[in-house]
Amino acid sequence: MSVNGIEGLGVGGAAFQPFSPPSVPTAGAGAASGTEFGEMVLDGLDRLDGVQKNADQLAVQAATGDLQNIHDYTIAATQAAVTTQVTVAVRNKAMEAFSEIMRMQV
Amino acid sequence: MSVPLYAGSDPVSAVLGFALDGLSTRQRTTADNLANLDTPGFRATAVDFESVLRSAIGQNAPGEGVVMANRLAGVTPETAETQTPIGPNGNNVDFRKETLSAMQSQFQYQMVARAVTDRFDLVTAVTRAV
Amino acid sequence: MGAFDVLRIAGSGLGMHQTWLDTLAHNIANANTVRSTADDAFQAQLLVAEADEEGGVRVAQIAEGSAEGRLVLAPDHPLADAEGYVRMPAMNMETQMTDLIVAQRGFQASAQVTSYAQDTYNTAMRIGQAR
Repeated sequence: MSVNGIEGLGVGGAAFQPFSPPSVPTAGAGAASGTEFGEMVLDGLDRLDGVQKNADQLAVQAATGDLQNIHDYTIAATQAAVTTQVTVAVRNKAMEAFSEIMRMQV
Repeated sequence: MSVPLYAGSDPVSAVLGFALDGLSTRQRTTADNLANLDTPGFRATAVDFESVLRSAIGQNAPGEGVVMANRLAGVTPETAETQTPIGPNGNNVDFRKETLSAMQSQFQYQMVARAVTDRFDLVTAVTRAV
Repeated sequence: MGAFDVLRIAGSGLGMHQTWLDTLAHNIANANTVRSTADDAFQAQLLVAEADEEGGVRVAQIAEGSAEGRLVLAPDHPLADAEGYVRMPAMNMETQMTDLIVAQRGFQASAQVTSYAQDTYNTAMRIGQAR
């Protein structure tokens, strides 16, 4: 819907643009097939491994006195903990879903 | 010689354990120095575990991550006399330097101890949820 | 460790101001030190500070004030020379007293920085805890 006359308003000389919500990219065709979910889980595990290794690296820096900022380590450690919890939760939900599907009477 | 607690654990735990030992030795030395602030002829000492730790880690192959625990088994922190000016009664304790060192090693100890706890918490989080 | 640079820098501030206070106290204590004209007068100590490239401050040098001092007529003084003169320090007491206040404020400022740094470190270490 267009509102006439409002184009004159603007910030810094730019014309007023009516708001349009950002478009959500549509999911790939045939998404949520078995292999894609499996890949997603493996990507998650890789990412978790990377996050944990990063936290270990910074912990060793703290031990040898090479750490530049305390928050570098604490943020990395929090990231590792939260990512671990998310990965475990995803795994648990996936197991529950699988068990429920197997229980279905055909 | 007794085997340190961290020998045989994974490399990162070994490094953190060694650092905690080194830091607590440093705190004891600082307390000793401060207690002898006015003792005639007393020479202050300082503990350095970071250099031995860095060189032990450095012997690693690139990409391997961290030193193996058994390389730390024979390693001990170095204690040396501090290079501070000697006063008229032969005492070289620098009050400000020792106080700042005490403050810093306390924070560093807290940080490494937190690192140890965080790593155990990760394992606990996984085992509890399964 | 780079993480604790603030402590080191604040420590250098504390050290420099402490030395400054020592020199001012030394000068003030000797404000009335009389010397004979055959010797140098009491020379006030003047502290010169310079910035450290890696952060902080250090004492560049401790300069000495005038060796001539002020010639004061005091014929009854045991150290007086043939004309009755003695040497007094060439020092401005007012400057020393104001410097004393400035030095003390500087010391307190660095001590305050140390306290703030400790709070900052504690906050940084609590990130992600108590979840």
